[in-house]
Amino acid sequence: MTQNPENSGRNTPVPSAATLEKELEKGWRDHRSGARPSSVSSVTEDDGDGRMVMNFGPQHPATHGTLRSVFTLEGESIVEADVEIGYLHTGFEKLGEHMTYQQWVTVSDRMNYLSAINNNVGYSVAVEELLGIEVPPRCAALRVIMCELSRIADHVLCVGLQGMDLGAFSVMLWSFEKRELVYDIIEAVCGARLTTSWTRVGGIIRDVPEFFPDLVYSFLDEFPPIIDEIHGMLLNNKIFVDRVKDIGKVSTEKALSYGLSGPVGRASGLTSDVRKDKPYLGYDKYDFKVPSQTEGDSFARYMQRMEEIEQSLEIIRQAMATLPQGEVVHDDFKTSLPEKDAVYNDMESLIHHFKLVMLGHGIRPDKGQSIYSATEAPCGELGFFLASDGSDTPYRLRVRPPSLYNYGLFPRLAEGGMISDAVAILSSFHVIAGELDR
Amino acid sequence: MADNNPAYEALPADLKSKVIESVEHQGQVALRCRTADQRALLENFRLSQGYDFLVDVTAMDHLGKDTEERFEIIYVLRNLTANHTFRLHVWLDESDNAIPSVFDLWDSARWGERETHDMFGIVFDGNPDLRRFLMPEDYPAFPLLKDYPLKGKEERRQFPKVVARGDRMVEEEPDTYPTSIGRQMHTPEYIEEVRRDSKPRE
Amino acid sequence: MGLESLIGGEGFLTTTVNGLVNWGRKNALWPMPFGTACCAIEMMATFSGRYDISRFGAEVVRFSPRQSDLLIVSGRISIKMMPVLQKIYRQMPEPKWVISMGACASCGGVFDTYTLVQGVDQFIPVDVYVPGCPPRPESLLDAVFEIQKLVGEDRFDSGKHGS
Ligand code: SF4
Repeated sequence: MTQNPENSGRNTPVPSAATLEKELEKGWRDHRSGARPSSVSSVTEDDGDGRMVMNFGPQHPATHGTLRSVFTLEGESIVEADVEIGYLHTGFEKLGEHMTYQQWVTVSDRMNYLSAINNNVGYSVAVEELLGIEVPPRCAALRVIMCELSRIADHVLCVGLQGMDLGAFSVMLWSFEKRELVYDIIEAVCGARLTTSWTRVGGIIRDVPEFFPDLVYSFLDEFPPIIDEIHGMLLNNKIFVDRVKDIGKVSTEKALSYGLSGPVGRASGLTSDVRKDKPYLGYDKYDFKVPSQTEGDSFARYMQRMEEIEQSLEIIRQAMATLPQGEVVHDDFKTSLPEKDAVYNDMESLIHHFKLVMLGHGIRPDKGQSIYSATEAPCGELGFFLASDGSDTPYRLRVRPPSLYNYGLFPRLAEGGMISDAVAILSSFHVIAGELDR
Repeated sequence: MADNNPAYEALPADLKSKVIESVEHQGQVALRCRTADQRALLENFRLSQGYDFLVDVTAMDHLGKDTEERFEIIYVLRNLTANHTFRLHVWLDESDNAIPSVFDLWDSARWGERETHDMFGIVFDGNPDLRRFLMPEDYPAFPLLKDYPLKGKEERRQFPKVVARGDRMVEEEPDTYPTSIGRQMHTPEYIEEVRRDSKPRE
Repeated sequence: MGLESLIGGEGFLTTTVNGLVNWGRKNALWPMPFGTACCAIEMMATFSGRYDISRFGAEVVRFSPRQSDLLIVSGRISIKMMPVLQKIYRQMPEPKWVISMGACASCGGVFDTYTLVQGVDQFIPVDVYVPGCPPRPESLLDAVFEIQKLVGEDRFDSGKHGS
């Protein structure tokens, strides 16, 4: 648990390869059998100096999945905090090196499963930037609408979970109910609720159904009152307000140095938002504000999310009003998949489709090209670093997960507070394990 | 050399000569340097030029490729005031795969470097917390190296099995585990061996 | 149990008590959600408002394995998580049932990678599998019905809780 600076570099004598191997063999065997005590125990133990080590997670309702923290306690205050992640490590990046550019879209929505569309769009935008292609205006506008919809769903859920962790269970039930409104739209557009796989490199899978505008407009009518309802339930709840106000304060310098982004960073006074700083998909056409708070506590993060929901509604309204007609797929079929209808009925499209789908053909960016491309996901800046070696699979696919860098500050924040504060801080950070561990 | 990269332009002359290459793609600049110059360049970017946001640290493995060194460490830097982003690529030798840490310049490097260490086995000298990160503590390999197979070396099968025997659930060790759990080390012989039987990718 | 060892045989009393106990058990399943990834979100949707698993008596979600009799494994299980899952399974009191929800828990799904366990049934016994990625809440409800059927067929002397 204690961090040992000498442990890190080459300053310590390196054990011989044989000893190392033996130790590793043994450790690995202990891990498999669950015998290593530090690995999975959830007992609390007193080691004699009045301090107690408490294990929190990886399977605990307040950890939202699979996060594990180890707190050293004195009474009820945390003197030392350490976190362990990786319980959901799935190998997305390695998988990316073995899949074609189009195939990886399917995998990308398993990463941040609360707002899968943002992942799809983020990845597609990255590949399009690498290839230097631009999607048609209708496609860009549709992507913007769907991104903002799932941003709303993500924020609402986060607020609901924040309420649930602090005892306001009904908020969570309400927010889940309201998320279903967004799910209805997502289901109408791409057929799935969670794992959407909706975009393709160079476009989207198909045009939206005819009744799409009705759905979105009725959502726009139905949703705004809900913001007031949630505010009413939480802001009038003294327990909630007292437990989040002045808890987990993050200064602007800290936020900058730890690389916080998204609502968590903006609640601490940062004003950066990729949608404004480096507009993609024509975000510069829409007139919206980037709200930001100065307090940097858990309450500010709650307010930040609620304000961002309002801005997202505004963007959807504008995008719906100016939704252009036309194609939804980039028309160079050397890079983008033709629509399914055309594939079944048109010889040439079938050939293009075949060439793109078969391993060994497909999209081939030039050798040595690489790009870092970022989009604004609900959790923060979602970046992709892509490097090509001229083949049809990326040579290196790196995801810059916003949750990882946001979560890096959590142990430092938890130190000095109470255990109950740690829960309040963690839920306001909204860390998605799938994206954290990849 | 890229003439339009403000970060490069603002470097003093002696540091300018340390940048060995500069590539531009889609308006984004990537500067290249060697391990020995990495620290000086990054200090200049952070302390003199105000690149206060380290977006990401990661690495790339060029095993079997015709490159200067095997590893490439990638820093993505951003200046929030000037709203400018660029990358610094650093070549890293495989036989002495250690590079100075920059956690004192940006705190976000703490975890970025730790993850890179976990995935590639690269040592960041000075980083106070280089434990395993995403993989279990005793995992015998560095998974993102190019010579580690996608499906692993059977580590994922090596757990005891809970079975019903009589009236109780008991744990049963399988008869045999696959014997070799593929320990990877950066020894020159090992890398030589891998080089020999790995075919370069098309 | 112990009761049946006193009474013995297949008399009127055992079968009736058996039926009564099973009726009670199957309409009051206490699930222990072991949710890790995307499937967990659908599981939570099943527990909440619109799909409302409490209509079928299984809404007492206990995050403590010692009070539960139904383990719902939903999501990807990595090699780091597997010992934890086994520990939790061992902590649950008999009789216990397991649902493996989603492609990943059942067989690894799309992730045939170095870190994912390719199906939890290699290492713990599984009673019902739910296909889908993620399964819709309706499918999870269906799996709960299947479990209820299994519970209904269970026997003192030979079934899961025979001892
Ligand atoms: S089965 Fe699909 S939805 Fe479920 S955890 Fe796996 S990837 Fe996620």
